[in-house]
Amino acid sequence: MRVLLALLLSLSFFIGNTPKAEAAVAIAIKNRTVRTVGGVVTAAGVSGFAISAIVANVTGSYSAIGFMILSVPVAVVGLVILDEKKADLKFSQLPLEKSKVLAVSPEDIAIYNTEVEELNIVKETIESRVSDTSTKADIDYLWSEYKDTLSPETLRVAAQLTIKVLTQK
Amino acid sequence: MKLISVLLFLSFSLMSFAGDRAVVLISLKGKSGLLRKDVAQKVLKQFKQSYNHSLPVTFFQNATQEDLYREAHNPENKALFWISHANSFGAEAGLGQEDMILDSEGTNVKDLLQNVHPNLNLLAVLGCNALPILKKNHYGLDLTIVSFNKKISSKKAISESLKILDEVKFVPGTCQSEQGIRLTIKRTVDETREAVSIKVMNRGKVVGFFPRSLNQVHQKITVYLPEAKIANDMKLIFDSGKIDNQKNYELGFFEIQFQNQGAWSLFRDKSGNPMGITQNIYRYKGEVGIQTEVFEPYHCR
Repeated sequence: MRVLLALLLSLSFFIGNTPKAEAAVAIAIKNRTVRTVGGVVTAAGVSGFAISAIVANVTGSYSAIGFMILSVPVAVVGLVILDEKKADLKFSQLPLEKSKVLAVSPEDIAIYNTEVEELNIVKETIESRVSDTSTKADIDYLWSEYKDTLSPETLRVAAQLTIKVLTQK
Repeated sequence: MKLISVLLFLSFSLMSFAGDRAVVLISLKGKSGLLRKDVAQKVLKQFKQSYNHSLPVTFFQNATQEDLYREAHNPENKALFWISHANSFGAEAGLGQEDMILDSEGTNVKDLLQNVHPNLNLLAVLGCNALPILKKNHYGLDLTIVSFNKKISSKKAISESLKILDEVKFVPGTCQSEQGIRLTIKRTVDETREAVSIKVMNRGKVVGFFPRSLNQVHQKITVYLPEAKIANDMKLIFDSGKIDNQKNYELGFFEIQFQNQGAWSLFRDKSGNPMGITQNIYRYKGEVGIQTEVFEPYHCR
């Protein structure tokens, strides 16, 4: 009886604790990151891009139920799976040949490559000020506050990368 | 004569292996299974049960990036096992999800595996899908690497890596001189707060490391940068590696000097506030074409 009680208690801890919370964190991080990155498009002056629809698309792929179903057998057996679900979107250097695909010049990419660390730090600074209730206008305002710390070429390439990545199916 | 030769051989063998060891760094938090067992304890037990190699082994639990940096550069270590959560997302160049090898304090340690002491003969990074991260971040390390490009349980990862340890031949490393631009970096921190450990990055490579400050106001290190062709090549990133950018970390303020000159400025916003939560950037404003000097990044026994 004691063993059964212990098992039931453990199960309730498990259901109430890890997977659901982890999924929620993943969605929150993802959502905030995607929304922050999306703001660079407005900062670069690119119009006609519906970031809110894209955000819904991307965050929709993170399913809390999916996490739970996958995690149950692992938890029952007690295996320690060494994977990591949290991740952050980050800009990285680009080869100049990507200029055609992104509809920017190779010179734009060369400048972007020299400022990519600064771009990530601006994104991080803005992200730290974005909350779950921040609107698109709030995020656009933050980008407008910081965009002068980056060159227009860097913002242009970042905007094209954002559109390319977030519209991928 | 024969006896003397045998004794000489034995004494040389003992000398070359004196202090050699394997080190296991476990960086996992939480509980698992219906019985809510502590994950780190469970993995430690799994490792101890499977380990039967003659090399003495030392364990570190709740290992941090500081432990990893120190042990990766410790000349006594012949084999290093890092056990934590990891994932590679296979992001293309440009914009994508960052690869993670995460310690138990929420720090991404992937960059710290770029450089290891030449005496190290086996590096095992036991985390899911960590192999692509090592392939991407390593440059020319001459040692046996054990890692996986799939989801894996700790038990299987440990048993696979120990099979490979049995096949490794332990040879002392060769320490070579390199050329670099010598810099002295002083970190000043707020004495009322504990400053986080920081890796110093230049052009994507780790060139130095500040341990967390414990009641220390000043810390000083010497780093060497590869030859610089343009001013941007001298840019330095002071990165805590933390993945949570909603916290307020004490990174410290850095003074960078070479040849008695200070020509770096902190990347700030229009109001003069430092940019960055988990990292800061110092941009170089001086001249390039600086003379490099010979240095030894590692000392071999």
